[in-house]
Amino acid sequence: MIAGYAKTTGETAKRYIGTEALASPVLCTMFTQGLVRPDIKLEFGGIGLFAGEAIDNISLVKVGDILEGKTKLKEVYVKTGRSGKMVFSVWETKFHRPDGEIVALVRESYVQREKKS
Amino acid sequence: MSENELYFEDVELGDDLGPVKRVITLEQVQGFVKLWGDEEKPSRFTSQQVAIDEGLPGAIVPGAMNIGILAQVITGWCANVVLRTLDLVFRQMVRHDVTYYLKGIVTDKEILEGIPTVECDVWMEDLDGTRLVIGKATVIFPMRGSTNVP
Repeated sequence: MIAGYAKTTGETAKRYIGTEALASPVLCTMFTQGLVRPDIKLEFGGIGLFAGEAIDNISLVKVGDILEGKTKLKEVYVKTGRSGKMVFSVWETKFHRPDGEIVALVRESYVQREKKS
Repeated sequence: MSENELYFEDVELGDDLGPVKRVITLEQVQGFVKLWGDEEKPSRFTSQQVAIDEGLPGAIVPGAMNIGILAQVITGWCANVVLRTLDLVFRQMVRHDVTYYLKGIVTDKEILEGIPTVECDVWMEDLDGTRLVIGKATVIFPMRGSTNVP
């Protein structure tokens, strides 16, 4: 996983490649991509797009680490811009080790734009 | 990418990060998508047709992959920098097989609760200078003579 992440993102820093490598400090952002989230019945606009993502790194991830993640809906809010109304939903995932030590917090923001008529 | 070491005292406001030149290929995206276990069916990330059918201009690079790539303007800065936070906004879609530059600039430095902390703006731009992904990073450096390793 760590090697694959480094390879596909083109990482060349020595500490993040090789068999004894540390994980990229943003590796946990990838784990949230395969998550199935509950349907929040958001009936607005068309295709949803990834609007932004933030990560707080609290401790390093190494080869062999076991991580668990818990995701919750943090907020849903509306913004109006030049292109019309947009609805944002923000999900927060907390990654921790089995002993409870928190490793990282990841916040993902998705946007749905008003459908053009 | 630099494997040199830098210390908090070496960093100045206005210091430039990068540029790092990147072209992201379909093969890279396929490999990345496979890592999260979603390689079975064509998607907006791996198929031009699916992307166009969804109203996009063409296949795009996943946001999570853009984070992994843009983070390298920090992780490649020097061998001992620690990326503490990265907060990105996706303003425009990042396409396959297009030349992009990863850049950054130091915007602040201070010692917060004893931790030597540096703030940076980071972004990914195209050849026209349009910033497609923008954000802020908080990084930590060791101080010269300090035994504390961040």
